[in-house]
Order: sequence, then structure tokens, then C-alpha cells
Amino acid sequence: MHEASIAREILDTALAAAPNASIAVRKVTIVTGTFAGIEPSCLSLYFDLLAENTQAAGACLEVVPQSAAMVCTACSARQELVDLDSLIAACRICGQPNRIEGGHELYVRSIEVEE
Amino acid sequence: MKIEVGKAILHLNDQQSRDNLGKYRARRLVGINVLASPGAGKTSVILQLLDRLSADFSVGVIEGDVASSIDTETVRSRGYPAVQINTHGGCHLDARMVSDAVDQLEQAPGGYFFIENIGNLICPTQYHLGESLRVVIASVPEGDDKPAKYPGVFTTADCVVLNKSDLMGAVSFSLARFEGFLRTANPDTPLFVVSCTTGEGLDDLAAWLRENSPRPGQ
Repeated sequence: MHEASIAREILDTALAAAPNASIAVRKVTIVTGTFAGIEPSCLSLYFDLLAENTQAAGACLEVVPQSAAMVCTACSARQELVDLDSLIAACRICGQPNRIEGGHELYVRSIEVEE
Repeated sequence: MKIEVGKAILHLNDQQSRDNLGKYRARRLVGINVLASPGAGKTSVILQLLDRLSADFSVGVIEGDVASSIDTETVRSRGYPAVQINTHGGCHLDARMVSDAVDQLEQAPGGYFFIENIGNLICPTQYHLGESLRVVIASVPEGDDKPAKYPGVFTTADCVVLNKSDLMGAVSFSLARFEGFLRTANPDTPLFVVSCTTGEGLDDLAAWLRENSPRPGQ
């Protein structure tokens, strides 16, 4: 349920990025890593509610997933980790342990405002 | 019109976390963030560590709970300072809450304090609190598949504690399976198998914390 706090921060960040306080924000794009622990539909629900009566009212919240990677500690073979279910301990090529890289991204990439 | 932003969603918490670290350092304190699901034994492990660290350092606890001050009273009854944070439904501690709580923590300079987070393996993960170390606790009765089901929090652990080892024979639990799942999420984090009932592993855990955190006062 921390999506409520995250939605609040997204809205505040988006409003602060708008060129002025009267221009309408149409779209907010965020990037969330595999391990960010964000449930997009829940996040959108809170975002829509919090954005009511602000200049971002009705804005579309676009959630762009960013994959973590599993990188072999021995041969450096790299494999995308799209979702948590595809985590594997051993490298597919040489069988040595994988290390996880990235996946904790959580940032506002851009906003779109009315022309 | 598109405007590039490129700003961390939790940038305010991240900034507060950095401010917290400065505040802890000014008091020559080292913060340790303890994450686990409800009932894993966070308070019990913390109490064992307080007993092992208090001979050489000042110690204290910030207790995070949705409701009640049961844990704070337990810690205080053992003679250690503690401050309670109640989130009233909130699922994680944030850096601002901990900053305010540290101001109330009556702990002498030169030591360690533990931040017992809300029992939750998801929401607290992204919130840095100015800690120097992050300890993730799992326990035997929860099952050996915890790191597979909640890998995110285990990827951020500086060390992992498997508590209630004395129940290993009483419930179905494979240490090899647990460790296999843990290694998938985090190949090189140290794992301490402990029991607050028998005392197993707790001296090693306390020693590791001392060796792998910044020395209080430096």
C-alpha cells in the first residue's frame, strides 16, 4: 500500500516540473525497475485521486518497466530479468552464479503539458 | 510539450536519508535498518544484539509499528533507550519519521541504534533511512521459500539472518533450499542462522556487525 506515498511523490515531482502553475499536465511518465515493488494499477488509482483539483487532473500516468539484469560472475553473460519469476541462480551458459544488476529504478522520466 | 524530468520519485526521502546520516554521525551513532515480515523475531534478535554490543558501545532502538508501544516497553524494560513510531496503518518508515524519532532517542554518543521497520517485506525496501547497514531477517516457520517470493528486499540486504533455527526440526524447512533461493537474489550477502532461544549464531552476527559497519565515533 505504499503506492499511495509513491503517487503523492510522483504528483509533487510532476507539478514542480511544470513551467507554471496554470498549465495543464497531460501525461506523466515514470520508470520502475523490476524490484521497485510497484503495482501499476494501484498506483494509477491513487495518482488519479490525488491529481483531482490540481493542474494534473485527468493526466495519464504511464508506467515504463525497466528490466534488471542477471550477470554471470564468471563469464559475464548477461540476461534480462523482466519479471521476478524469471530469476535464476546459475548462468545459463557456464552454470556459475549470477549477480543481479539494477532493478531498483524509480523515477519520473518526463511530463507532457498542454501546448 | 514534453519536458524531461529525470528525477527520483523518492528524491525527498533520499535527501532526508542523507541528512539523517549526517545527524547520526554528529552524535557518533551508527544506524542499522532491520527489515522482516511480522513475527520473524525482529525485536528478539535486536535485544540479543543490544546485550552483545552494550558492553563496548551505547545502544538504542527506534521501534516502528502500525500500532502499540509493546516493543518499546520491552526494550526499555531491559534497560535500553527506545522511541516508538506508530504509523497508524502506514506500511513503512520514511526518513522524516526516523529523523524526528532520533531527536527523541536518549542515547549516549558512540554506539549503534537499530531501526525496527514495519513488519513488511515489500514497502520498506525503497525507503532509505540514513542507515549504514540493512539487515533482513527471515525465520524458519515462515518457510524456506521467502527469498524466492520476496526477492527485492533480499537484493538490498547487507546481511541476512535466518531466525528460529531451533524450530528447524519441528517444521518442514530445508536450509539448502532457503540458501539456494537467497543466492539467486543475492549471491554474496552473509547468512547468519540464529536462534534467540538457544543463542546459536548471535555472537557471530554481533561480531560481523561490528566489523562491517563504520566504527561509531569515526
